Amino acid sequence: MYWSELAWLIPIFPLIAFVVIGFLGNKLFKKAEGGGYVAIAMAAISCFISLMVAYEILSGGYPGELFKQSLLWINVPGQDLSFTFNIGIYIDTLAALMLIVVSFISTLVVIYSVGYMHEEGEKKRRYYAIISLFIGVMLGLVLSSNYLQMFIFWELVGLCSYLLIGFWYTKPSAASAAKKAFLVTRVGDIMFMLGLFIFFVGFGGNLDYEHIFNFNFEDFVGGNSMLTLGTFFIFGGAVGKSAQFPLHDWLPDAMEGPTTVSALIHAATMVKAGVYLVARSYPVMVETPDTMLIVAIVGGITALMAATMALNNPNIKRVLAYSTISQLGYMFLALGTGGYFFALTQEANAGYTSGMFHLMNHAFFKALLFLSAGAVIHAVHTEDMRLMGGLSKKLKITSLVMLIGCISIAGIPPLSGFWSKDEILASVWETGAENPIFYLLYIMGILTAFMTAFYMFRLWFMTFKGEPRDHHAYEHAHEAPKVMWVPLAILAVLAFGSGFALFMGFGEAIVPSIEHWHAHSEDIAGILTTIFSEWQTYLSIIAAALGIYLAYLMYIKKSINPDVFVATPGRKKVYDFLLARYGFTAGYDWIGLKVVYGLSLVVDWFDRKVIDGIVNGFASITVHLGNVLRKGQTGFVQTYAGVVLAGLSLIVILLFLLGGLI
Amino acid sequence: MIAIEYFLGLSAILFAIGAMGVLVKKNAIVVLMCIELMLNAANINFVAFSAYYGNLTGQVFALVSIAIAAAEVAVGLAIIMNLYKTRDTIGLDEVSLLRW
Amino acid sequence: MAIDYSALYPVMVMVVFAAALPAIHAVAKSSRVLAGVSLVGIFVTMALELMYIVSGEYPAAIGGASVELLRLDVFAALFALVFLAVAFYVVLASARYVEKDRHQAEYFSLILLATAGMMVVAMAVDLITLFAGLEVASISSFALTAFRKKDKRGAEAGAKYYVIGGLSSAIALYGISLLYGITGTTNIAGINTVLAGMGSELDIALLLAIGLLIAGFGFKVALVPFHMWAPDVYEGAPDPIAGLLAAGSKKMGMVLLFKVFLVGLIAIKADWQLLAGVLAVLTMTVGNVIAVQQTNIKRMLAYSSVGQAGYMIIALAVATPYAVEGSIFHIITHAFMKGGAFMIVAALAYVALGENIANYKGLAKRAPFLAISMTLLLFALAGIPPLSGFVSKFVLFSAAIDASQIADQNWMFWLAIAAILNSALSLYYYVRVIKYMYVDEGSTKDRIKVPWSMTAAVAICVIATIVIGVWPDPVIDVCEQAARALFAG
Repeated sequence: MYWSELAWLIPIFPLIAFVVIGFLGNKLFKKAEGGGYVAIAMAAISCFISLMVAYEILSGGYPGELFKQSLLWINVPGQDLSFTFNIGIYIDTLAALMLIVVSFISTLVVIYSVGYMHEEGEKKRRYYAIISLFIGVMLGLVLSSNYLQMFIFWELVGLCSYLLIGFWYTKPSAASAAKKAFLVTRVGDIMFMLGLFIFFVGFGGNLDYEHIFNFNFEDFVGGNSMLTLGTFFIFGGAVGKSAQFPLHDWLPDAMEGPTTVSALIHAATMVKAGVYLVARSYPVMVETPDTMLIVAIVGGITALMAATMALNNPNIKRVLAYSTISQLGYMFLALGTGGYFFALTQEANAGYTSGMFHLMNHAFFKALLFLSAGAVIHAVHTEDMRLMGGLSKKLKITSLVMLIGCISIAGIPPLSGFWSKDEILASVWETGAENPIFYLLYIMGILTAFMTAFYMFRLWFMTFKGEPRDHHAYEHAHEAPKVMWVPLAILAVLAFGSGFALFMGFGEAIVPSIEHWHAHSEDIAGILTTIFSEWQTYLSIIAAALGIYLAYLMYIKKSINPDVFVATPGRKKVYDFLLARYGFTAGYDWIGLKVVYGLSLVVDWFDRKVIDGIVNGFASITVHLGNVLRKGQTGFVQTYAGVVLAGLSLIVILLFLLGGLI
Repeated sequence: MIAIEYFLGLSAILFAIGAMGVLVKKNAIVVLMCIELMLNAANINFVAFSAYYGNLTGQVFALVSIAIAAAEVAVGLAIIMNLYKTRDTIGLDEVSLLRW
Repeated sequence: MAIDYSALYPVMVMVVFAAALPAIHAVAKSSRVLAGVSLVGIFVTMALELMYIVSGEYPAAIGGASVELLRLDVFAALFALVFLAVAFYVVLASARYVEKDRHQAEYFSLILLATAGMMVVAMAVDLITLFAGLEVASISSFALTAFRKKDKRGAEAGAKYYVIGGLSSAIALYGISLLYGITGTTNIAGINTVLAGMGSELDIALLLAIGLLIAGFGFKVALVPFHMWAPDVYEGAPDPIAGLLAAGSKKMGMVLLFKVFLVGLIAIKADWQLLAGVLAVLTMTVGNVIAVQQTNIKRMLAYSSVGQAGYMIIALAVATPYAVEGSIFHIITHAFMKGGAFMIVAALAYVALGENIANYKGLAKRAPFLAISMTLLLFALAGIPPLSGFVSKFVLFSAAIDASQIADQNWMFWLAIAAILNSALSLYYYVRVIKYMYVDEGSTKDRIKVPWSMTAAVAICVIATIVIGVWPDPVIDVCEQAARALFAG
């Protein structure tokens, strides 16, 4: 009996919570936190099973290190139309890693929600129901054994994020942010779908990972160019979901939801789904170096661009949102780099591993940052950092744990962010030998590291240090209740220490399921020597330290006045340009309002006049025909008998005609 | 021995008479009888073919179908009785409540 | 030589229970007790049949060494299960429906007998047993249709059903007699062997026989132009019985056509394939077009049944195991979708809600469960994923497209196109009902209380519709076996 055999229960428990809270909540849980405890219990059970399963898979406890289970869902054995769909579970080390991250962080977030959402009243039931569904479908997505099943959960994840971002749907900004998230990710979803169509045809009507990963790619219908197109579209899906350039703009707006939801979306669910998709598709992706190059470039551009947007934003949650986009960019950069390198040299570098490593570390410190930001917002009831300041006196625990998060994301050793970021940058540099464009990406990565350190510490200094700028808010600020800071403390420990997983064999455990992929295996001393004997390591540490120092100068010592950046009209323009998110929002709106709307008018006219005309014509013909035929039904049984006999005669005549007898 | 064609001719004529009767007769009892005529036309075929081939299958079939027809008539008469009770008529041209 | 009758045990159980019911009625005068006993009988029979399917071992065929009469194979067992399932929910829904009527024992007894007849048809491998089974089912359903003796509409429906049914029986019997005359045998597979040996020479009598058989059996399926009795009878019959006719009796008609054409006349399929295609398109189109104009929900469902029969006949035109697999699958899903819809109508009629579609206005507020069930069933009928109707239509239509890739069969492609267009058309009148239930305001908002047995009958259908839609493979698997068994003769 293996734990893995119970894996199918993992998504079931949160779904049970969804059904129970969603449909019976109003009657059952009037007093009991609107069903929050049920949600916690179910999430905790599925977290427990997830951890056991993940441990079993990662420690090699399950024979073959790969757990597969599948039920035949639909099987159509035609001659040219044959295809097979299964419903199943597929757990390799990658899925195991995701299970840990998703289930663990989700559970903490739900616990934290009991404190954070305490004042929501009736709405709590809706919140806990949807968040349970969210967790359930994300776990389902991770466990899926084929692309179709994954796509179904993928769409459900999108639906849940829509519902949660628009949780306060009476607020127009929340409603429109929810719509934006839904529509922009939908662009990616359509690409994902196109990719699936290409895969479906190319891989012979079977979308099982097992089938695809063991496929002889020479036999792909449509050849390698079609496969490249397929992987490109699959990546397109990831771009939408993971908010990468140029579909990144929904994520900052998604801050309209409750902060807990943001934490969930950023650390555990939604955006990680995109990274997971690319990592999951690695065995296919490495067959197409062009796609991998695009993945790396998009990742690099996103990382840098999002970091610049975070530099001057006054909203605490938005800064964190941009930082998520930027960090996700790192992950894609890592994945693209690793895949490109493997595709060209047939040798593995640390790209894939470091990308997944960063995914895990990021999950912990980003959940920590968001939840501490939530604690701050909970205390001062504003998200504007210009109204905060000096809060470290009031929020001792929060400020401390958030500092850990900031150091970690900034990449200062020995906290977790350092290890993964350093590995990513090292592998990018290494790939530069194959294609010089990676040197450029490396520079972008270093710049991003510098900016990350700067804006994170700007955030921390503005929030917790200096003089209180809004005394009213300051007076009323209070430390978060226990139910909120305990999860924070747990996350702080993980954000501090999750990087040490590197020394516990992370690099050997998390490898893509490609046959001739050989991971580096080194002992602790070996790893440390490799890392600290290269000048790149010091460069990235120096960049981070410089960023922190600059923030210190500007916001603590005030020897550099932040206003210098808006002193001249030129500088002011750059400043506003960043605040306006490079004009992407306006661009989206322009596309939406002018281009699409104009097009819609034309289509609408065509639809009304031409299509509807035809359809209405058919409809009225049908209706009239129906009326005529109906009148034939006279109600006299002998009419019917007559029709029977007439029909018989006609059939016989027809048979004679077809047989050529007449 | 009488040639098979004569039997077939007889049965075809019976079948046609029956079918005609179903169409034109108003009285439900008569229509029922006409249906019996059609069934018996088929029975004649069975018996004739049975003799022609010299196997018994056709005769067995005829016997079975006669038995079935008897049961059918029993139910049919009951239904017509019932129609008469509720509608005071057995004229098939007078029952057209269910239509369109 | 002793004959092994074990293949008949399931039928015998049904007959014994049917015979026992009047005796029980003498002791306990309650429709619920009678229904309960009937359910036990049906349940035992289902268990028997299920045991055969699961074990894969079937009893020996009944009949002489050379000429078999009845054979219980996976095809027969599967269809027996379908008929039994239909009988099961019909009885369940009837438990309260007939509580104020007289002759309750006979009512349930006739349902069991009709089901037994259908099961015999599914087992028949000889035209004699086929015809006998058909008549047992028919005569029982004539009586059931006219069950409410005081009801004017019921009496009329019974008379109409009887006249057309009798006429069709006579036509079919005449066709059988001609077939016997041509081949000298009534064994279905034997007929095929003789015909195959006769070569491709065309025979006027043979074509006549084909025409007569299509007309005679087409009546049961409500094939256009032999469909006109169906709406009148469904409207006049007691509601659960309308469900039995639409979901059970009609499927028996499909079995008749499968057995006679795909087993007995498969050697000369070139003669009738195109005709079947024409009838399929005609049937689905006429059924759906008239359904658009209906105001009575039972008539609408009746015409939609006619349309659905058109889809099923596609299997006859295509005549491949794959298509028959799809058709059997659609028969199974349709038994639940259409049967469930009729059960809802029955439940609402029981609480004296009219049969006019307009009476369903605002139903969502008055009977939320029935409204959502109706919505699901209608969507399934229209073929909306992920409900069962979608999957079965998908398999069926793709079988037609699959077969159309063989040369000389390109016209089959248009069968699929016609069927898809018809599905789109059917959505119109299904959605109209849903709109009435959900969008329009009713004259009253009083909650409707329905007996639990009827709710249970509806729930069975809805659950089956959803489960088969979400996880169709086991059912498809059995359908495939059944189709193979059919073609194996």
